[in-house]
Amino acid sequence: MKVNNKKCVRKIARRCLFANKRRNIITTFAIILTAILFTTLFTITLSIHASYETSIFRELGGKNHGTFKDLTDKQLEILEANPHIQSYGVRTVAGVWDAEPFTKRSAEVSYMDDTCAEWSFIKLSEGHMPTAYNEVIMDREALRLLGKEPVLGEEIELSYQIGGYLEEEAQVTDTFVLCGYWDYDPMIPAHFINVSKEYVEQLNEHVEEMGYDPLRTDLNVMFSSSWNLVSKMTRVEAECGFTDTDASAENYVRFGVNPGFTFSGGSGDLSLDTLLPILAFSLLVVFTGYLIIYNVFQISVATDIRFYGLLKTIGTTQKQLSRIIRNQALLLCIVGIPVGLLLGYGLGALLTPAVLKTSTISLNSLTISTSPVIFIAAGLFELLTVLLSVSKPGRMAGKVSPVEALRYTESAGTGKKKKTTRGAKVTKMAFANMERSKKKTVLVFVSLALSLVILNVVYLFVGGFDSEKWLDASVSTDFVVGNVRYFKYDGAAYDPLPLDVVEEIRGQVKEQDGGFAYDVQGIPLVKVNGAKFAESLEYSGEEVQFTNDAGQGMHYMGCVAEGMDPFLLSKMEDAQGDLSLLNDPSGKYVAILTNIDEFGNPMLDENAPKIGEKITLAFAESVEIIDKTTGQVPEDMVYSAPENMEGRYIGLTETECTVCAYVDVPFSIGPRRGTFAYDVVLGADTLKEIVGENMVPMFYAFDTASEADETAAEETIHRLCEESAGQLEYESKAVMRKDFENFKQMFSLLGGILCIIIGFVGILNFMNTVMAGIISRKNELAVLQAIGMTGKQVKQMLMTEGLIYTLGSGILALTLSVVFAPLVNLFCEETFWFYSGHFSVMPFAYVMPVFAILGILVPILAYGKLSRASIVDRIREIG
Amino acid sequence: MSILQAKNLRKIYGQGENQVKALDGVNLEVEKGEFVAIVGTSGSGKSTLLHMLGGLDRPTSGEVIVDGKNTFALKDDELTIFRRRKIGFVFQAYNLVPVLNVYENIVLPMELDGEKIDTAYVDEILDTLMLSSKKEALPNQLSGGQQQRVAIARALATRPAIILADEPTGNLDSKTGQDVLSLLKVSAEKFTQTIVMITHNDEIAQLADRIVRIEDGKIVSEREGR
Repeated sequence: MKVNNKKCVRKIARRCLFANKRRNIITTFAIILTAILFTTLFTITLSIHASYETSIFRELGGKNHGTFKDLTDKQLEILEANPHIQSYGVRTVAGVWDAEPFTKRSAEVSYMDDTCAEWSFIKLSEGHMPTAYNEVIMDREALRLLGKEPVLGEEIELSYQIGGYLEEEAQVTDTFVLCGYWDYDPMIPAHFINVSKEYVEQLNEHVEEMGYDPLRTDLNVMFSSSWNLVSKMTRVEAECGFTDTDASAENYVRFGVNPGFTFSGGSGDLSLDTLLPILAFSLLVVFTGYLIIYNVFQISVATDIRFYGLLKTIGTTQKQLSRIIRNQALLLCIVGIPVGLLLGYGLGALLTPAVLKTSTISLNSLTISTSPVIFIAAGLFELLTVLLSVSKPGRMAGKVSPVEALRYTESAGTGKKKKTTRGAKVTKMAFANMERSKKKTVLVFVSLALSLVILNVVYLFVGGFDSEKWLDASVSTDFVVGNVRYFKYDGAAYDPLPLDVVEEIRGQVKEQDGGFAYDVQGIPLVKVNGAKFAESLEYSGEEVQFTNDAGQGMHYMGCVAEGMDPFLLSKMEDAQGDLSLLNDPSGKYVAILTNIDEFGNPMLDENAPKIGEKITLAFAESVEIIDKTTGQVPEDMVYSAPENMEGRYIGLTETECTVCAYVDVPFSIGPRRGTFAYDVVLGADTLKEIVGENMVPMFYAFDTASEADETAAEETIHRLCEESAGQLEYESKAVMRKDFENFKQMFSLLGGILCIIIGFVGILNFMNTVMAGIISRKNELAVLQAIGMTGKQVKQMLMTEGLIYTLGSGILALTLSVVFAPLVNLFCEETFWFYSGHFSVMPFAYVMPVFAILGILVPILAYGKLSRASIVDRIREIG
Repeated sequence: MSILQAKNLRKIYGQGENQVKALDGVNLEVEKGEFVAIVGTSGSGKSTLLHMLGGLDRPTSGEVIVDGKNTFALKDDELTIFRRRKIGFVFQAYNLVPVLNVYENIVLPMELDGEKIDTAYVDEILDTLMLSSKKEALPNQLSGGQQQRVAIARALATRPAIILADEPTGNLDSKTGQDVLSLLKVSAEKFTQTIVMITHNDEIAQLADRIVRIEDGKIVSEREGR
């Protein structure tokens, strides 16, 4: 039987809603608060994810989804018209400048349209995009390298090679006028020097006259989503009638997909590790929301039970009654959820930087996600919470027996009677009142106690973070000074540390002892057997074959080789074997870098050379990789199938060394990267012998003699690093301590907000219960007064009830905390090695007085409002 | 033809010593168009009987047949739907839905059923019960007599098989009570409705076609009204 009565059910729900203001306000608040929690959580999570993506895009130099490369004007036009491409940016590369002063990081002279510039992270701090023929913009660091001040109107001479041509005649020199500049971002792989469209157009004519290929014009594109980009690009190619397979064809157009989207797992995948805590937190919020919304509706149904009984008598079915309740809640959601979403999004956006600060992602990659997923997910979770919360009250209203509802008064329904000889004492009555509705009492206890328990857990958790324990383990030397890339490892080789800067530092600080660590420029290799090679392949998936590989079943694998001065070697704590042998340059000793577990077992595979055995280190100056199908150097390694590639090591040398030790190098002075082969530590002199001039300083570490020296050094280095314009970076005890404090602060902040919101929910719940209890007992209280209970006694009774609620929940929370604190401590000590377990009741000391005051105040206020009407009126009025 | 039949109804509360026989084998038949009053003192079981007849409560044993249908063979929700189609209630405390106005209260059972509202019929009822001017008023803006007339209108509106009235004048002063009851009787005749009314007031009962007296859960006498 299907009847159309939805309209009528909705009407009743709507009207009931307006008749119940107090309940609505409290429920709406609860909905807002829980929606805030959900939205904040999702905003932070997705923003961190987005920031991570941004940081990768910065390293890659662009955040567009893909690029169609080397296009003719005609091809450009066709592509721009394709409806699948949501937005696009054009770039024409005039040339590259990799001679002085851009030897370390080359400069790319090109024209970019506004979109392309935006996608390349160009945000002008002053000026405008180049429009006139000879206008130019570049970053501050490029200006500095060119010896120019960031002043608009400055004349700058640029000298670079056209296109990719190396011939002398391909070099052009032109004078430009600076019309804008932006802050340098050390993570971006090249200096962008942007010129005007007019300039590249004229240059193009010149290039054609010279008989060169025209300048390369690329179209960077964005699609509606980052999902399955390769097939999207291929589809566009097909629709435009292009091919990306036949290089000789007229309609050949190459394309590339931004690897950032594949690195970050196709943008949108979150690993289980991140998902689990999010899920756990979400459940906590669902539970918090459930506690209050359920309670509010349970009370309101109990109070209005006659009303629902009446509706049933005149023919409202169980389903319809549940729907009436549900619809009321949903109507409140219409107000509550949008408000909660907005506030939560704001809060999330505010908190994200604090969370980001504790990650490896730098703060200038901060990206607040605008993904609709945040709002959809938070909205759905909130809806789920609300529906869950009203399902039971709805069923209760549906199950009401019409006859009983007609004479319903709220009672526990337990028939037990207690005999008392002492008459009706006020406190006794209060206790008896609590017992009348045990379920409700327990609910309030639990919801109030929950916030206290969470507060205590957060307090324990944050308080347990032991900064000294952390420092001891994470800092080996007082100071480590290195290139910025050393500290923010991003997969690329480190830039060498300029020696003159180190000398400058050494000249200005009082050091007790110090030493360099060295990296290798070029390709350090280690010779491994077939079994180890096959095993590593499973992890790395690299399959490029090398024509001059080691042979005889052995293979070369790239490794990390760190050279260390004696000072650093003396800092090694976890080692097996004899590290001091490394200081002997004639011996050709190496130590294999590994993790040594707490039982002293090095975590190495069975193929690893034993201490005392020989290992062959090799070194190649570079590799050459050729696409076997074309016989040419592939344009983009990343997009090419490795099985089609063939490699050759250039300038290969081999050295046989003896393994003298296994060593667990502390992270703070380690190479901060690793390979699937064997990474090694060598004495600086030995390394120099093997790789010669390719050994470059990676960082300089030193200790100071006294605290005063340390403070002075801290100041000096801090200043010098600031002055280095983002090239130089350092770590010190003070910096690490601050980092750790930030980390702690993040948890305090997030935990604090969680506590406040859950605390609010608990208090709302308490207020609702107490006020509803008093209002629904209006007649009863009036009768009590009529038969001789004074107003003061009534108040006393109500206050006692309030106090029982708050003190009861306090005791419950304390008990739970005492029981669970050791568990929390145990768990945290297992998870965080820098955690020291402890227990404290301080949070209770702070919060209990507030709770007690509320316990007294709320009943008084509620009763005060009630007692304005005369007793007679109150008796006459029917609930 | 009997529109309402109660066969050997029993309702027993409690067990053993505490056992209370609220209804103890009641047999009753009501013809279509009849106006029956059930009288008895408080605790005689008359309200329980009415609840059973109306399908609000289930008997311990026995059956109730309304319009040829054994009501207690129905499941709870089926019974609820049966109730809103076949039985109209008028309660002592009026029991109007406070958030709905007069008109909405009257058509509520039909709306719950998803039925199309026969507005002409509803207007006729409103007219008969002299409520036409109060259509938009909320229950708390009406006097007791007016509220009870709305309740009667609500009971009539679905054209039920029977109307059950539980002390319909209990909350009204005697003059208003008389008026309301007259209207009930008049409209029942006009719309050929069957009424079963319980009351403890003999004078009110006199208006019925038949008066059934109940004591200790048993029918003790039946006689014609005036």
